[in-house]
Amino acid sequence: MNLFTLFLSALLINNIILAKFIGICPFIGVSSKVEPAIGMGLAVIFVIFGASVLAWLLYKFVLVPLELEYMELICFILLIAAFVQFVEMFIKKTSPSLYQQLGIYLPLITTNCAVLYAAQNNISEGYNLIETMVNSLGIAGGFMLMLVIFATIRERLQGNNIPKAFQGNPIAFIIAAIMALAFSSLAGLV
Amino acid sequence: MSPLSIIVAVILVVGLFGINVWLYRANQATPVPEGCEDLTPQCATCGIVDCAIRSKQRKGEENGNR
Repeated sequence: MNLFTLFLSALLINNIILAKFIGICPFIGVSSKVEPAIGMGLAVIFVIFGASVLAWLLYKFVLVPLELEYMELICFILLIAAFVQFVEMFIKKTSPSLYQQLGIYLPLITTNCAVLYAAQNNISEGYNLIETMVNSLGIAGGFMLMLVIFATIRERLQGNNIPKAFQGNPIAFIIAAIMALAFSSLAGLV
Repeated sequence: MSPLSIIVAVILVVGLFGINVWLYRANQATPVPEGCEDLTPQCATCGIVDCAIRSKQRKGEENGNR
C-alpha cells in the first residue's frame, strides 16, 4: 500500500468516526457550531500526530527491546496524557492566540479514545515511522473533516422545524447514520 | 516471566507516571495568557459528566443562581 493510498484509506474509507465508530463523544459534543469544531479538529490533528509518533518510538525503542510489548496499553495512555499536558503548557508559553483557539479542547483530548486508537493501530498494522506519520494524519484529518461537515449540517438545522422528540442528540445521531451510509459507498475506492 | 522483567516493567510505568505528574504540575503552574482566563468550550451536548471544564462551568452557573 503506497502512502497516498494509506492516507486516503485512513481519511475516507476507514474513517475513524463513520467506519470505526471511535471518538463519537467529541463528534456529538463539539459539533453544534462550526467554529469550535474547527478548533477541536486542529487540536486533535496536532495531538494524534504527535502522540502516535511518540508511541511508535516508545514501542520500537523501549518496549520491544525490553520484551515488554504487553505493557503497550498502559504506557500509551500515560504517554498521551503526558504529551497533552506538555502541549498545553508549550502553547500557553509560546502562543497565546493559538491557546485561545485550541487550549480549551486540549484537556478534552486526553480522554479521547481516537488518540489511543491511532497509536495502537500503527503498531498493530506494523507500520514504519513514515507510514505511522501518514496514517496518523489521515486518521486525524478524517476526524476533523467529519466534525466540520457534521457541525455545518447541525448549524443549518438550527433554524428548521424539527419535531420535539428528535431535537438535540436524536437528530444528530440520525444525521451521523446517514453520513455513515453515504461514506460507506467509498469502500471499494482503494 | 523473570523477576527482572517485572521490575523493569514497574520502573517503566512509575517513570511514565512520574513524568505525567511532573508535567501536570508544571502545566498548572504556568500562567494562562491574558485574555484566555474565561474561555468557554461550547460543548453543551457532551455527555462526559466528570469533565474538568464542564464541572467548572457548572460551578459558575450554580454560583450565579445563588
